[in-house]
Amino acid sequence: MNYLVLGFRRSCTTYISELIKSHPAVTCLIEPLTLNMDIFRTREFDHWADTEYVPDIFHPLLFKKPTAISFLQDFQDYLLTSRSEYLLGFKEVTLHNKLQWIKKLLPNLKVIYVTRNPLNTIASFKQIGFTKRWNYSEKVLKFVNTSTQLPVGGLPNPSIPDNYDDVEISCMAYKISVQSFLLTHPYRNSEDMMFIKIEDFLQDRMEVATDIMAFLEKNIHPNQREFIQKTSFTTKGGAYSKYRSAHDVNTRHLVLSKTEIEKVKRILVSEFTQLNYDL
Amino acid sequence: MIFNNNHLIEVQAGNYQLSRGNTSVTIHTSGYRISRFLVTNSMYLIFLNSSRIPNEEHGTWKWVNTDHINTKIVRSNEYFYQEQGGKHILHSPIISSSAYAVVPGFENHPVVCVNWTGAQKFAEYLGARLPSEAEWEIAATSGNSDNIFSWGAFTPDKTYANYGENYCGTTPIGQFPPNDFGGYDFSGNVREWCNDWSSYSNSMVSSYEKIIKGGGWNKPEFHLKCCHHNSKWFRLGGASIGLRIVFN
Repeated sequence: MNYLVLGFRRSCTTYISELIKSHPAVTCLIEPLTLNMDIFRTREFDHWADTEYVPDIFHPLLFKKPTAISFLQDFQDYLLTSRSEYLLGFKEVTLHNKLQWIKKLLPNLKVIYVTRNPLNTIASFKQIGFTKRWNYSEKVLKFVNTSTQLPVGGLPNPSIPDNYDDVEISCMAYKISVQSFLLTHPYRNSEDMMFIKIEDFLQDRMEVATDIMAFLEKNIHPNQREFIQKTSFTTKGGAYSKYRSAHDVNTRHLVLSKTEIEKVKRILVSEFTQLNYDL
Repeated sequence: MIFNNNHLIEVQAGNYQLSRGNTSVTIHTSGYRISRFLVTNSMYLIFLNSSRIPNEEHGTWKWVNTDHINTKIVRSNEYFYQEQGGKHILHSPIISSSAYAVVPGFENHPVVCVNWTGAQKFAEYLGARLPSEAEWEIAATSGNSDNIFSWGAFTPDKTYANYGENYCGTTPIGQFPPNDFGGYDFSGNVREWCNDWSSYSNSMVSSYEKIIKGGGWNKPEFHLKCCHHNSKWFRLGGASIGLRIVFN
């Protein structure tokens, strides 16, 4: 068995994966595909179906790219050595619409999908400056102009791209990712999918951590209890720090203006509902 | 010259005790010289810029991920991002005739985001190699198995080492007190690739994971113990994984 921790950027997926890998018999690679292969960044919103999985080259887009193929081959070979006594998994933020393809790469894959209140996610996304960093303006507009697969309602006026601000672009990136995931993931009614609301986790970290490890067929380890105790009460470190108080995680939206908050709620109204967050 | 004798610790031939939980093991060594400091960005840059093999190909990194937000080695003559105050900030290009450059101010920080192959290639470039786990541990404990951490047995705090997000990133090499052998940053700053394949957790992964030792700037306290070992997939570098090297 393998596992994948998946969530939109700034949804606390790093924290969850660090918690999981504090167990000495579990490892978790941090964004092995997104951080190491540019195809997963530049084609973040491309849907990859299971029929696009091609043995030996993995995907038609990798044809005649032996260095990339070799990396993916090693990744697959390594992950497939996973056993109950030493469980191998990874965390990603850009595979929302490639899960059908990933299931072909790693057939025995469990998925932990992490969500955070969209207001806090977008606030953090904006604060860190991800729109420019990951070129979301271009990626979102390309998707809006070419996709016929997914509903993209909510953008103020798709025909006037220059009018979009960072918050609108962030919301659209969130919407495209989450809707892609909800509509195309191959785990419907499956016991191989676990949803984690980070707000539930913050209310009782130990209980939810125990549930996560049970999902991975492991008992919680003393190192994980220590990890939770050491990281829960104070906020310190940089943008990817594990040390975050619940208050800090839950109140990130305070960096948004009233107008921006209204904008997020308007564009992401269906995502608030589908992910069970109060508007 | 990247390394001279002042940069190296001489570990004498002999038998050394290494702590293993409640017990210990005896290791014999015929002697070696290990780098006193972690390999820095400016050291690694010399290797990277002199290599005829490209570091990136087909959109995939071979040795060091120069796009990672924590790397301080970036492509020359291109805009690049760095994290500052919790934000990703776009910086103007560093003009250079070489392919890569170090972000100013970080020349003396340990190199990170280097995978095991990149670490091994650097060592090979200098006619050196990566330490075995036992060699690393003998040097880290200064040959004294009573030294739980490189500085001894005192409880860690941020005056001894860089760990637990106390400094929000790497710190310049040699900033913290040396161990009894005169080596720096064995416990903390960045974890270090060793030459050994993992063999303790699951024989199935032993062809894929290499041992890493020492604590890291973003890792909790228990990683600082000299006997603590961990292993990582050799193809990935990390935000807090670097290296030091050994000469026979």
